[in-house]
Amino acid sequence: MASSTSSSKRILGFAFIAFVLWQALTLARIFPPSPGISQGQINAIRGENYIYSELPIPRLVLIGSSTVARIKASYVGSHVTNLALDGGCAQTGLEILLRSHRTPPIVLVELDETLARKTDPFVIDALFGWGSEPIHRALPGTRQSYQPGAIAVMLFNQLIEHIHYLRKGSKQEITASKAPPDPTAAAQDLKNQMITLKVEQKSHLMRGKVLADFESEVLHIREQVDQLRSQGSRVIFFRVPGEKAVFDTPLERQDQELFHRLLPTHVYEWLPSPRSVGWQTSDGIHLNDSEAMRYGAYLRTTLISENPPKLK
Amino acid sequence: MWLHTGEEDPTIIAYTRLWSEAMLFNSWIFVVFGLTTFIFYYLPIFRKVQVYLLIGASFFFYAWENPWLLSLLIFSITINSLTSYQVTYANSNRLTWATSGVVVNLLVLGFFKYTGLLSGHLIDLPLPIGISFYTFEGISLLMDALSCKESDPSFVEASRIKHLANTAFFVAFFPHLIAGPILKARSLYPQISSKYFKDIVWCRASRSLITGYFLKLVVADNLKDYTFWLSYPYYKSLSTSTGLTLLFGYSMQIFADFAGYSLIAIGLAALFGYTLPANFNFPYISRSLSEFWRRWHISLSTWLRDYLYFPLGGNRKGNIRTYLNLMIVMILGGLWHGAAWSYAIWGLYHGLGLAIERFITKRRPGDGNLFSALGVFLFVSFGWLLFKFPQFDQAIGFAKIMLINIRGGMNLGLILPTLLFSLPVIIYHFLNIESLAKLGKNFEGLIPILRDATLGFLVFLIVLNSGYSNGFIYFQF
Repeated sequence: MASSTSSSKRILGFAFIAFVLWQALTLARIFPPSPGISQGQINAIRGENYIYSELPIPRLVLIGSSTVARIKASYVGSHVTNLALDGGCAQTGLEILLRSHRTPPIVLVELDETLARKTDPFVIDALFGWGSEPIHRALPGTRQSYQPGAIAVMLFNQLIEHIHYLRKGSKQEITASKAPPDPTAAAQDLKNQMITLKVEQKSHLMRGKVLADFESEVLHIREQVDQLRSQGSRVIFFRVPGEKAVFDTPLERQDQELFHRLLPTHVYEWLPSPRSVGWQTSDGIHLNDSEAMRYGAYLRTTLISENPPKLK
Repeated sequence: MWLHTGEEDPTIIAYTRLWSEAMLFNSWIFVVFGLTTFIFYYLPIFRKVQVYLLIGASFFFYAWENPWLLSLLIFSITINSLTSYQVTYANSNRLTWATSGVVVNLLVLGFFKYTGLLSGHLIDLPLPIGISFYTFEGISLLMDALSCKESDPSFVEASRIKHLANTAFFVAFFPHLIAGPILKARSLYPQISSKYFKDIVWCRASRSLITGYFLKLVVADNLKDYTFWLSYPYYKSLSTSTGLTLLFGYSMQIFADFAGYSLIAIGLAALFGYTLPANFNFPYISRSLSEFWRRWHISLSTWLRDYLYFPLGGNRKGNIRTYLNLMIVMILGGLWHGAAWSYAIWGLYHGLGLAIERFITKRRPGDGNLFSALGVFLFVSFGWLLFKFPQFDQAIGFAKIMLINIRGGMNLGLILPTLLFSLPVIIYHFLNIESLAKLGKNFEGLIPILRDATLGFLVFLIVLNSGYSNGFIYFQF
């Protein structure tokens, strides 16, 4: 009994020492924060970067799923933050905004079928779970961006890059493959399969519980948006353009009808769709990089240029 | 976890088909539940009713998300208690009582688990969580009661009420209720007695809990974010090197997930004064497939051996019959995991492997070496494809892609984290290799400090590097 309790104390002692050492290393900035090594973690880190940022509150924040995440903030302009989450949905981003107490003047919220995904409990738990926020603020070493595994992978990546650079004299080849998995880099046949799959999925209308759940998510968004508006934000809904075949489906039409019914244009602002058609995607769903840049320019002109046109 | 395309991980879809989400060992609510039960359990005023307290707590644990499930558990307990009592104390028809008990258990399991498969998925009932485990324990109780010789003091109490309480405890004790280890009545019933706080074996409890939580939260829950990309249709864009690394990672994940759960169960039971059997014994260093099955999910393999393989005749009825028995047992063992033909094929795959191995070793006996261990690991890992892909054609599709995409580059974004989070499982296994273990004996004085430092480091990683959990893979079985 005595030896086993002393062993337990020793275990806790070693754990405490490791914890203190890790905090010291991160506070001393011995290594940079990691951008994340898995989709969930990358999303959580995007949230952390927004919450704990020492920069002024941005003038525009983009909220949505991976289709929005493709539009880099720099494509839209300066003082813009893209808080869209890969594999996520608008509710999660709005939740982060509401809880962060950093309300931006303009919030652009994507509305599409990804709403059915519901708020991501991992991201919200990682950012605002029991005691998380004060602990993460006081001890950066406890944040997702300083997870030992993520740091180890980042450092190992840098080492491989360095070795590669020394051997080949170029960083180009290796950086292409070190990025986290990205289905947008899918091959053409996979892209066609994804389009077919998406068109097939969207050929069936929502009914019963599925429809009721979806409606309740839209109503949840409405509550979040009302809260943001009461805090002084201008909230604008939008839909990122994509493949015509995917957009021209019964489910897509049902979605739009539902959004406009529950979030009417005389109460809520909607961004008009760009006039140009035939947007190219890399995988049937996400805009490719040049198209994302083009759409970013459209957002800049419409929303934050000196004389933005009045929206409906 | 939702992904870019809005598709869901098929493993998670499997979880949603369960009738209830259990109270997870890795949730805060479980910490509160476990601590409260632990405190009350050791209060002197509750000493006489400790078993009843644990039964009540276990029922609460099981009914957490869906109280209706409790009725099925209570039904199972009642039937098993009644029939096992009759098997032990009835003057005649002992075999009939045992058979009826086994039949009821199998009917309950069959109704909930295999109706969908047999009806071509026209009727697809949600699966009550833990049903495969507790029905097998019920059968074990009946078989053990039946095999009790007259001279043997039976573990079945003479009082019906007391036996009912013991059976309820045996079946429902919360550490093992959802995903095992599958207990044997003969080993648990004799342990039922008053327990004292001073008798807790803290070493065993803390080591099991720390290692178990580490394997689950740090290894399995992080690996799942990468092995997801093995799913259909994403694997089509994977190169061979990336795909095989992910498959290797999946082998590590499934071990860490299930062995982690079992170790947590063992640790929790130790806190309440009970010893549960080990469920894993470093399976990936096995030098033969039969050795693998003595080391992997030991409680299920032992159950299948004792209650199925031996009654079928085992290896006593000639070579052909032995091979046949092996295949029958493995196919049924495969189907135990789930109502899908891919599980039956997985069982057949292992059954054939065991039969061929037996055929070869009869002619060329040997202990095996590092290469045989590697061969067994590769064989087992390819078998996990059938676990990852519930549809057989997808598993074949993956194998084809691996033959086609040989020239594709390595995706370090997937490979590096997969290898990093697999490393603890590799180290865990390597430390148990005989030569290394012998080497360790030269430093016996240092071992306790090194061990505690390692466990301390694991606690540190649990705090800072846990992944996000959706449940345990074996909950779906």
